[in-house]
Amino acid sequence: MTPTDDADQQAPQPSPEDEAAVRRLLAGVREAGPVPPAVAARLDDTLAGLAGARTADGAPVADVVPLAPRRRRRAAALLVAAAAVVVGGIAISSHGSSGEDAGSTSADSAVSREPGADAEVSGAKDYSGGGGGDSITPHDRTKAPTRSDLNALKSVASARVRPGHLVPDLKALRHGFARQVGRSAYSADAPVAPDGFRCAPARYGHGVLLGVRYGGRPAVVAFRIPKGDTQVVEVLQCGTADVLRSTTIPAG
Amino acid sequence: MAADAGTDAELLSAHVDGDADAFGTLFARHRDRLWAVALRTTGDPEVAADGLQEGMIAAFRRAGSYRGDAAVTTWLHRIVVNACLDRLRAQKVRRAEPLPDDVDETGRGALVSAADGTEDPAEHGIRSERRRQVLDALRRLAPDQRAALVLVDMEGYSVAEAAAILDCAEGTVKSRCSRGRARLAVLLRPLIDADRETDDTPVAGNHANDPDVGPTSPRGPPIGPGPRPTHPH
Repeated sequence: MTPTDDADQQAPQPSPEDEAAVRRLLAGVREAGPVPPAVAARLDDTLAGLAGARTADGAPVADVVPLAPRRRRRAAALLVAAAAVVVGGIAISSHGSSGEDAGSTSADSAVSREPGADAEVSGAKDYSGGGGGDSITPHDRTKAPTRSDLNALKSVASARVRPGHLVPDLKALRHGFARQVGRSAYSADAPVAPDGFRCAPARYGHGVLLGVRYGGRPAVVAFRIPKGDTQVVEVLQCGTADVLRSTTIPAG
Repeated sequence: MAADAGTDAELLSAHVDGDADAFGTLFARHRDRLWAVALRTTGDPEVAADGLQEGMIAAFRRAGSYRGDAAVTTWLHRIVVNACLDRLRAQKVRRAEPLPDDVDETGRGALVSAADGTEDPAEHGIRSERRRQVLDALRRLAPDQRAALVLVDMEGYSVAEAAAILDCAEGTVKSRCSRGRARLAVLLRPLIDADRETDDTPVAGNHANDPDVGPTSPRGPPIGPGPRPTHPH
């Protein structure tokens, strides 16, 4: 017989008794034993090889990028380049400029999202609706990161965040900018990163967004606006905003 | 993290964080059960071993993509079952010929072991023959139907759990199970008729009188030597 659905459609519906008998027969041949020794040894060897292939800082998992809708692939061509430029450009295009941003360079606007970019990544997560500790008041939204904000953030961007030392690295990262930026820095929705940092745009939500290397790969760390004494921090996949890691750190 | 500590999710997270032992501990918890599913789904020990290995590698590397929207064990099963089904599809495996009577498909020896050594050899032979017939019939099903039946009727997963593992709708699982059983009812008619006369043993897996393939009571694999799946979250 042929193992196809067509053949099955010809099989008459069994009586409840026959169906029960079939299920009893199937339950009777359940494999209840352990993995055969030869297979177990093979698995152990393979696992040892995988563990040995791990990078020095122990981060193999970052090599696998979560699948994204095909449409996002097109967005991947839209690479975010220099940091200050990105944040400045987005802020200006989205909210207009406050006094300090009025002097943004032409490069600022040049790197604002290309037309259609939002539509391309519309399926990406939107963190701006809260839930991640990133809610921003209407007053906050009228502000854009200031020039001094951008400079402070750029100085700490592209840091390395180690998967095995997530919280200490994030705390150190925050320590590097916390005293130098104002609340307006949390209104950004595009990452700050140094020249040459490549990370496709996505809806990363609002917050202090920094381009970093996570597990050896570009990623975006999103420091959501502090709530009380704590602050949600997420590591996001470039181009999709998929959450790779999420944690809460002291905001003080 | 201590190698023997933590829930499945904690072990997976520790692995992502770089813990060198966490994934091994996690996989060891479930590999017997994963092997059982792989073996019955493929009907071939070589393909099952390949599928299990491939699934393990994929899980090791893709741990960072685990979202926590299903139990870790469900996620592991999904990866392994998909690896097995992909292999079957790619290789278009068809094992119509029965295995030798004296060789278990697990490669461990006797098809049915006489556990206590006191079983009547004739009875032992009958049980082995019955087992062989059931496995042969199972191998004749389409892989998708076989996988559904293995999960629900053999391993005791609920329809919802099987649907999560197979990444399809619950209705699809029910349909595959129903059609698979209908086919098996034809293929196994002699055994069914024989059982009707002599055997009134309760069903070991799902309850037979349920209106569909899944019971409403808490589900899990039949209690036996294999570990039960954990659902830490």
